Amino acid sequence: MTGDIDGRIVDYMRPLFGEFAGSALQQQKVKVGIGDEATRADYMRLVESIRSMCAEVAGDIVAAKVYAGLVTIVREAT
Amino acid sequence: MPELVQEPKMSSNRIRTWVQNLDEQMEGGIPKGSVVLVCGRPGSLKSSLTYYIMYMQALQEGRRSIYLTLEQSRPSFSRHLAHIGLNPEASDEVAILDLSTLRKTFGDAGPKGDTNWLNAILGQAASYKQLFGCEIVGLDSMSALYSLHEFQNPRRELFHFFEGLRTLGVTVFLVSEMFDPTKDIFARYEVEDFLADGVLHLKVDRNNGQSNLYLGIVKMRETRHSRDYFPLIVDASGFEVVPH
Repeated sequence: MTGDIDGRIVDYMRPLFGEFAGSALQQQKVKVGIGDEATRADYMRLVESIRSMCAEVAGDIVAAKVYAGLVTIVREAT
Repeated sequence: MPELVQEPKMSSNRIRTWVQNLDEQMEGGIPKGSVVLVCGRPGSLKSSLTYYIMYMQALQEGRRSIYLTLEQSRPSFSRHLAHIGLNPEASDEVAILDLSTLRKTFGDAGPKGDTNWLNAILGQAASYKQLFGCEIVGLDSMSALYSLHEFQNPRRELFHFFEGLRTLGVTVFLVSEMFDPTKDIFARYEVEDFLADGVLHLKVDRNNGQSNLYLGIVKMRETRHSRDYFPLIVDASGFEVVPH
């Protein structure tokens, strides 16, 4: 499940992070401390962290859009 | 900050610049789907003009855009825009994507160590359009892109890059820095102006201790346009050219 959800998250991050989407996800997973056995709560913490990064790259409004999409992905996949 | 003005809609096949008196000089604006170079020497307001067009398109016509900045950070660019009366936080229709921050965080070589930056930009714009929708893309700047991409055959790679931009189905503005003060070379490889559908040239005329800005439409395909250079005025009410 982790691989599938990670792939969907990376795809959703790609508009903002382009080629760096995969690296950005891995960096945030390390930062938040998420391993292979991640729970929904872990992923919710992860998307919060990604939101902050999105805000830095594209501002709060776009970050909020990405965040909403990521939350939907996490809810559907976990 | 420019305010919403009610003006009769011109051709729907054109992207208005909303630079006062300029659209009338090119049949109402830039043909939709064009790839346009915005050229000039340092300090000629290339980035500001490009963002202004996107901002006004959002404000007046509700078009979504992305502005990809490769060198200037988002906060720095936002502060600059504030000085000319534009507030990037006021609209979610124009997204400024700060790739300079990503470069600083992850390095220029990209995750695989050999990123093809021309394809990376095309891919990112395509994925943004697919997920969030956008009709205009701005890339700032070509010089920054060239510093990242390792060309084997510039002419061939740029041909495919420009064709890739056209395939996106959006109108594209490429900010291009001019370095030689003695010649009108619009971009580094001297082929970009042939590949582009349009060229807007911002010229700084320095005389007797004064600097004056001029804007010229050097090229615009599918358009009858003036070839004059017009004085450009930038103030709190926006951008304006002074017709002869």
